[in-house]
Amino acid sequence: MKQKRARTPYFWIYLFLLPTLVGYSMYTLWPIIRTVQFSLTSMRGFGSKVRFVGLSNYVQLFQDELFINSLLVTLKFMLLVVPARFLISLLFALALNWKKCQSKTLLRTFFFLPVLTTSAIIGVVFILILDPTFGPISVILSKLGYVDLARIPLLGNRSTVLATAGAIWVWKWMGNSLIYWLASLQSIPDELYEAAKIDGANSLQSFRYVAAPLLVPFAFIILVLSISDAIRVFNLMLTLTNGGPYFATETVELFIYRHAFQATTQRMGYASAAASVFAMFFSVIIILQSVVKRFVKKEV
Amino acid sequence: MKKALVLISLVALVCSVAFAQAAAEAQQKGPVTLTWWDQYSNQAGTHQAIFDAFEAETGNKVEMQNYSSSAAKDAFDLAIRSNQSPDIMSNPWKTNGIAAKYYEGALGALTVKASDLPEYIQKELYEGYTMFDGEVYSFPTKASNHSVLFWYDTDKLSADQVPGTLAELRELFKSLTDPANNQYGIALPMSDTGRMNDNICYLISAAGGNRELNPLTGYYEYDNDISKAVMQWFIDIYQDGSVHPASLTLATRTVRERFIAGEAAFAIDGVWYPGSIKKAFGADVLYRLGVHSTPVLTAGTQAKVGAHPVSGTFYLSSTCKDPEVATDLLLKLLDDSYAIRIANDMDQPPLNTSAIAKADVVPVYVEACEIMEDEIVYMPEALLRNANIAEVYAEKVDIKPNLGDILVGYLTGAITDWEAAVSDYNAKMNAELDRAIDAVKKSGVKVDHSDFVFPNFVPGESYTRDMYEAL
Repeated sequence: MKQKRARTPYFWIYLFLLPTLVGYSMYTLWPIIRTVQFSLTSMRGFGSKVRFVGLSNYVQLFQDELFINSLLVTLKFMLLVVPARFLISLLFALALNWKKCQSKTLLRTFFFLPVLTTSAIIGVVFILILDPTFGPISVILSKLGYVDLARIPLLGNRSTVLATAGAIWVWKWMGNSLIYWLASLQSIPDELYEAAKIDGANSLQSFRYVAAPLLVPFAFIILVLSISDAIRVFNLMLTLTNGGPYFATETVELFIYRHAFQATTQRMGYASAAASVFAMFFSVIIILQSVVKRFVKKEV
Repeated sequence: MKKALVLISLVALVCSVAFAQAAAEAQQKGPVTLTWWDQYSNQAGTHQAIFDAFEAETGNKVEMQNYSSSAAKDAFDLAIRSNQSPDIMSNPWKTNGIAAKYYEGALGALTVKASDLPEYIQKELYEGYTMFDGEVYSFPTKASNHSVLFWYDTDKLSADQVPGTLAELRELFKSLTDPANNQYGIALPMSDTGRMNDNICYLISAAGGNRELNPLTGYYEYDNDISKAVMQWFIDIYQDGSVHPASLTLATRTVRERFIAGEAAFAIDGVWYPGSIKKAFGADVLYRLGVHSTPVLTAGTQAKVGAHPVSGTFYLSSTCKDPEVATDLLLKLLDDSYAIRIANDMDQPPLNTSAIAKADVVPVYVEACEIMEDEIVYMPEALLRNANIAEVYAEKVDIKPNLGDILVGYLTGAITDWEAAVSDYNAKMNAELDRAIDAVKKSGVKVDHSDFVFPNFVPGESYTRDMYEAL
């Protein structure tokens, strides 16, 4: 006897999806469409006269040394901080996952606290901490007799500013990755480690042959989130360095902000073109990453 | 006859309905709450007192929000763009930037005629600044000023020790610097390269150059000897080690902290410095403020700093919920008592400078206002000659890196040949001006580069209203 198949309740599915679809369309899709639309115009500010200029903003953009600089700064920052956050958080997660580790809850809270703090506030506080005259680091170095070293403005020096901002960023966001790593490590059954131990594997081999293959999907998610966070570094950079000194920390977001809002004559069209290129840049990175993920999965 | 009766009855009916509606509206129109945004936190108390009196008199409330000067422009622009403008706002844009806001449709006219305003205000109203298409959009309440007064710490030196030339000041800074004890000649707001650019341009003007365009040619001339000498001075004092090492991360407000902390003997700031210091650190430290006129390149010359004629202080937004009530409120700012209160706050001096003598202020503020009055000269402004120039300003975009950026770039090693960078900047500024003029011309608006040329301008002297008429 044929069983009567239950009808899929499409009406209810779409009804429940509706609020999300409406919200997503209003606050994500529509702004994206408008940004691309603005990027093809000479738009100065909202309400100003708008002229269609075709791809002229894009042509200008790739002739603008400061835009190329901002793309490179964003890329450099990403290459600097993402691996650091990825590896350091993994190391801390392994340590916290170790059975003999004491005060795990306290340490987890300790590492997660900076994640809860606002980036803009962290930026302001670190300006004071790293101050070359009255910052605590400077005071200690001065008392130890290293006055010249103490007076180096870490945030005012082109050769140190990106690394300094990067270190602050890793400190701020490491707790987030740590929680993901811990969750993924705890999802691996103890039996697998015990079996590896019986087969004579040491701790390193257990990690290499048991944990690592199982961590790959989590690693991919952690990498995507870290890259996404590293690209959206606007609040921290604005308050910490404002893109300086001399554009050394001007990421694409700050470049867009400068043209869209800070300039005497705002250039919404130009800033929108920069935002569109930036979105493409980010998409390319994510596509590359998924290609790498497939390759790594096969290898493992 | 019947037809006429019907017609008259209909007219009477329409009139009575209209009258009844107007009366009902007038009855319904209760007190309003106006929103007011400005960047004059030093004057928050003064403004609040006026709002309280206004509420007691009319029942209309005012909600005030203060922003720092640097944050105000961003906040106001964002508000305009999201249709959330306050009813009344100050002008954080550059003097000629207000015209761009008018063309964006962001501003609303006051409900007062120019002829109804006091004569001393009428003299300061200019089409393109405070008037558009013959309507009054604002009026100035504050006198013109510049931001390069040299403030020194009287705990470290006395007035007779402060020299008048940049070269002598450089030597003084060296003698005041002692890194082991956190003592430096000067702290500069170098993280705010826009402000540094302004400081450099003002000093170029004081040294006999042009802060912006040369009115005789209508072009920028930042690559001349005077401009380069001023740039070189900033480079020299930095390389001497006389500039506070945190300067690359300091903005105007944080420079004040270093000054009051006793780490820097000098700071460059405007006449509002005592007011800002008092607000941030209390009146007890005001005794430490000394002020000196703007230094020059050549001994024996008097600094003359070019400034624009004064613009409006407060504007109504185009979305102002009740322009009539807002205008009534703004007219309260024309009272003498307001001018005295402005002076009491030791912010930008009032337009009516005689009020300073009646105000309760520290002597150094009076001295700073006097220096300012001696030094300021009005430069010719193309916008006041041809109001269409507003469209050129709205079209013209910022050129980066500017002089402030180039200075920081050179000092941090990003630029190796600063003179070439200045020449490049100058060429780009002129090219952008020409491009903007051409773009506006193409759209059919009557503008020309000759609008920027003022053959009757005499360097070092104020360009007066009759000189515009003589062109």
